[in-house]
Amino acid sequence: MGEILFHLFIACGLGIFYVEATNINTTRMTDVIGAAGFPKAIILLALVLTLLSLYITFKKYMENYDKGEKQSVHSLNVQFFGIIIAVVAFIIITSFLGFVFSAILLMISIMFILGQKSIKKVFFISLVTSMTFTLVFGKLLHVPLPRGISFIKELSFLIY
Amino acid sequence: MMDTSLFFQAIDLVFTPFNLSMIVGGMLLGVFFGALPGISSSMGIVLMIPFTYYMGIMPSVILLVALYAGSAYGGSITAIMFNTPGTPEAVATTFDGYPMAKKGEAGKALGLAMTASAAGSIFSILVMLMLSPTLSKIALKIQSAEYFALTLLGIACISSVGSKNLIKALITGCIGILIAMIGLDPMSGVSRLTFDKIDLLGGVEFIPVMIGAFAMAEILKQVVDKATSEGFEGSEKISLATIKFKEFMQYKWTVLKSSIIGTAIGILPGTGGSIASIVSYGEAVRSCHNKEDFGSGKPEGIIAPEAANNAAAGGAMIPTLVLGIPGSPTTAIILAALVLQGLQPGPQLMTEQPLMLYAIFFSMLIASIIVFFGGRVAVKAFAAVLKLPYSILASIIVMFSIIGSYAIGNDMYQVWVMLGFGIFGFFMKQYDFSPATLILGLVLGKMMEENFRRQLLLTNGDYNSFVTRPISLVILLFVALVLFYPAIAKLFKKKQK
Repeated sequence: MGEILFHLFIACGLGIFYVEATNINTTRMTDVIGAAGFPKAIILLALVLTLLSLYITFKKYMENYDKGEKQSVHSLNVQFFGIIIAVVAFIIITSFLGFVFSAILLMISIMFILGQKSIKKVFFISLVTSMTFTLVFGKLLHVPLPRGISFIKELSFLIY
Repeated sequence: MMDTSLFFQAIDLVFTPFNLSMIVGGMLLGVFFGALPGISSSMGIVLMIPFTYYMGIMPSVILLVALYAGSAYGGSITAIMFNTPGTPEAVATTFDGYPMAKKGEAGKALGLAMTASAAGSIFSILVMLMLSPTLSKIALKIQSAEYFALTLLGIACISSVGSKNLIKALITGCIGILIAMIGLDPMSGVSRLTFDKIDLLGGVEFIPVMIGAFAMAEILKQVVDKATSEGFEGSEKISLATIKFKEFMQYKWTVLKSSIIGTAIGILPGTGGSIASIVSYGEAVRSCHNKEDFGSGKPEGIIAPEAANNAAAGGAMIPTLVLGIPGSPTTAIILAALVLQGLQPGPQLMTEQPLMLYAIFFSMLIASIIVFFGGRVAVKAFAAVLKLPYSILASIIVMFSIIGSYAIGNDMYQVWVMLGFGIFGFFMKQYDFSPATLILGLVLGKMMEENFRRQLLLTNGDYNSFVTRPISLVILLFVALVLFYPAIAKLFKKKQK
């Protein structure tokens, strides 16, 4: 069932892109197919292939359903959602806490989510890895990492 | 043909302690930059350019080309270890490299990649040394119709051999091409598919998409799989044993064939290693008796793309230096760096400064030989990383993914893109859609559209021009063969029964 829903998701996405492609300004085109021609052709081709694949998937699903076979589907677990939430939280808080602190918090949370029990290990690895990333990318490669606000910003200048 | 007196003069020029240290340093930096997703070889070269201001022309050029040679190998390291290609050229390496590492043979996989990379690179440089004047003349005959056909061939090959389901692979290939079209139209400058979002005007960067669809999606998949199976503890089964040279020699024909494919495709301006590695992987699958073993850690599946993409990196230097047309973003930056040093790449470089040209090729040759012999030490260090518990490894990969995406545009928008494609990539993996075709579509989409439209513009809308040009026709026939051969073969088998 998940596969059918995923096909429908793709088909809807392609539909939205097609509507957007019809809004492309083609009044001043010099070439034969214009700026909208190629995207529209690709979307239509993708749509036809998606519907064909959906038909095959649906047929297979119905055959299995009639036979009473249950398809083995991995259910999404707490860890799956935990990691996504941790990354989303990192993106949001990094502009306030700066890169170093956010990275430490992210690493701690991922290690706990994935069942690492040793608290000492979790804190040590998070600290060392985050500092290494900060120094390599911030200092050595001059990537302008987020610095956070207020005193955290002042602190960050001491590191990178 | 090669001028031997110039070749020996080039050896004299390069063999000074300072120049040799530049080669070793450049090669090591290249491996490092190539291995970091998001910190590409082009970024590595850009970062090194300020240092070259204070050097002479020769050492600075040597440093940059050695870095370029090293990065072509570095891209395979994370592809094998974490299913995260450091560069788009290493996408095909994930097909068999990662399964081999997962089976506990990370050392062997890295050893195969390294040796094949070095062999491919050495082959292409020898070809460059001997044939650069002749090959540059042939490359000039390739025009828009042929480029369009070549991009089609790349996507057809990856859909046909690099995925479990052809239709689903073609769907993701189309999605990749569609994403490549977001932003300003290259011919008219009007905005397309941007949904009035300013962030999308500049297009979608392929690095965050690539990191998301491969690395993040793989983490999410492992998290779901491991929770129901072995858990998140480290694996004790991982072997650090690399491959012996004698063992490697049994794949000599795969290496030779892939090196020829890589060099030939690399010579064409604007193509590069992505197509070369996919076409070469496809050829390895086609010519093998046990096709079903591919995708589960077959040595030829690592050797073919690695030898080809490194050979293409060498081959791409021919149009860059001899024609002044860069074959990839990285060679474009090398071109800019050479101009900064007062050199003028193009046909006159061959006539006015042939010694410089030979010295450049010779430096790349030494860097590749160093990879061939010295890389074995590095292999063990990289493979040992896989012994870490998955909870630690996953958190490090997530950090890599975040910073690799962030570094592309220095803003968190790229991290959102990475996360979005991570979730999309997870479901793609679950339902046998191919993330590799998505990336190849994204990388080749612009080139495909531009050449298609340019050809129509040049021929006043004559669609037949794609099949009336002999080289284009041959490539298109090959595309049809790649796409329809499995179905036709199946039909014949059914009829015979």
